[in-house]
Amino acid sequence: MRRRTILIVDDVESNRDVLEGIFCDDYDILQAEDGYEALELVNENHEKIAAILLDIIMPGMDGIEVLRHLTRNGRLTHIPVFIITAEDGNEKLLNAYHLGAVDVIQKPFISEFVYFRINSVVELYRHRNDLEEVVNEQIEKLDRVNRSMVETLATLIEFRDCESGEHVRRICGLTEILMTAVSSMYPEYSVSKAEIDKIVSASILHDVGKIAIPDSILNKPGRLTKEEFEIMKTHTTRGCDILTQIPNVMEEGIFKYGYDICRHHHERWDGRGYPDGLKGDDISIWAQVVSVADVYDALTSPRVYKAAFSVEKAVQMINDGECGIFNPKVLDAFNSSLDIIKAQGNTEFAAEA
Amino acid sequence: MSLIDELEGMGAINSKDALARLMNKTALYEKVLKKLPKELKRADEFLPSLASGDENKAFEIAHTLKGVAGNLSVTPLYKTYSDISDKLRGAVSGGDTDPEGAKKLFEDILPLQEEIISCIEKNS
Repeated sequence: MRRRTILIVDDVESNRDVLEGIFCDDYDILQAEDGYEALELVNENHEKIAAILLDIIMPGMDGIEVLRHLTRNGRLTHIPVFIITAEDGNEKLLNAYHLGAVDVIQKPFISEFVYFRINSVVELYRHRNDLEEVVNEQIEKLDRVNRSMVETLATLIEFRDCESGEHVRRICGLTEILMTAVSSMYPEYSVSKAEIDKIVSASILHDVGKIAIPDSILNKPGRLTKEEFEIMKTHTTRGCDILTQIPNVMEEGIFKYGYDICRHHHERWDGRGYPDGLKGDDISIWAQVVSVADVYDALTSPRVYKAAFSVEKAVQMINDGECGIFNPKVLDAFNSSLDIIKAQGNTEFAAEA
Repeated sequence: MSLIDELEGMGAINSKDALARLMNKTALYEKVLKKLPKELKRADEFLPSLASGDENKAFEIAHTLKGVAGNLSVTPLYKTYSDISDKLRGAVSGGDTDPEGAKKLFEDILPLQEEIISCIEKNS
């Protein structure tokens, strides 16, 4: 929106009239008689206001207090404030600068100077605000590219591995549910919402290393031999290799989580997982969460070598340690979230049908 | 005779100076001058404030009128209210004040101020 309004704040009507007279040909004018009215008008019109001309000494809330409020609520970033005052005590004027006023104009002033001084700053701010908008658009675009790149990688696996397609998407949902639960139930695992979002995006990448596993092993209907299983296990480290090739194009946070999840989503709480045999909380909480999500989804989905287990059976197998030992706190979060997990499963099922 | 000429004639304003500062907007100048009596009403509170020892308020009044008069080049009023402000500034900045001196300056300017007000009211 074009900012074409100047807000004049002064308790003296004739002072406001003089300033209005200077700017009324080029701007829409708002007038406030005191600080309270000024703040109200700023809140209502902050997207339209190009500049604020502010008197210091006013009854009620004075100009310095208005400046303080505007600094606190962040309005000064986009709106330049000019102090217009008959005051010549240096201390007060300096204080106004410290509080974020762009300039102090002393009365009596020469209107033309005021006109040019204020116009040039308004132009500068307009330019800056425009630039900021462009930058924000670029950031948004970059986010979109990031997301679509992560999804592209996931789709690649989908084409290679007939089992992984929907699996990858379900893992995201499960990761979000489990991360949110464990983070709110256990302060030691507390992670912000923004970070959880990144972890969820990164979880898409957990099996990206499967691209490097030969078809004959990846899609083998029967049990893998010991040698084949060793090769299969390398999908964790191969995933990291792939991610390291592309770090610059991926958002740093997603890359960091993605790398860790790729490598450690087959580690187990008792140290009997792979590839590094990490134990306990040496495994990051997000890798632990994706492990449980991965196992749960594998159990409840049909595979070339097995039928799908029922939800109840899968939950029991996970709790009994039949698929490896998990962190009791993560299991606690998992068990407390079963209703939501089942609800999500049903939606998925309905969507697929 | 226009209001501006009349005030000029009694030595109350410097219209050349004012118009130069108001981008030669004569209509704007007249419009704002006509509001001067209303603004000068504030001066009614000046002596009572001083008498009751509220130098803070007296300073604010003088300071406001200094700004108003300065804007419109009502030069004698501007000069007086500037001086009064200086004598009372200590009330807000924590220094010495001179209420007696301020009172004297105010009483000296009062007749001219009354004359200005009646001239404007006659022309409104």
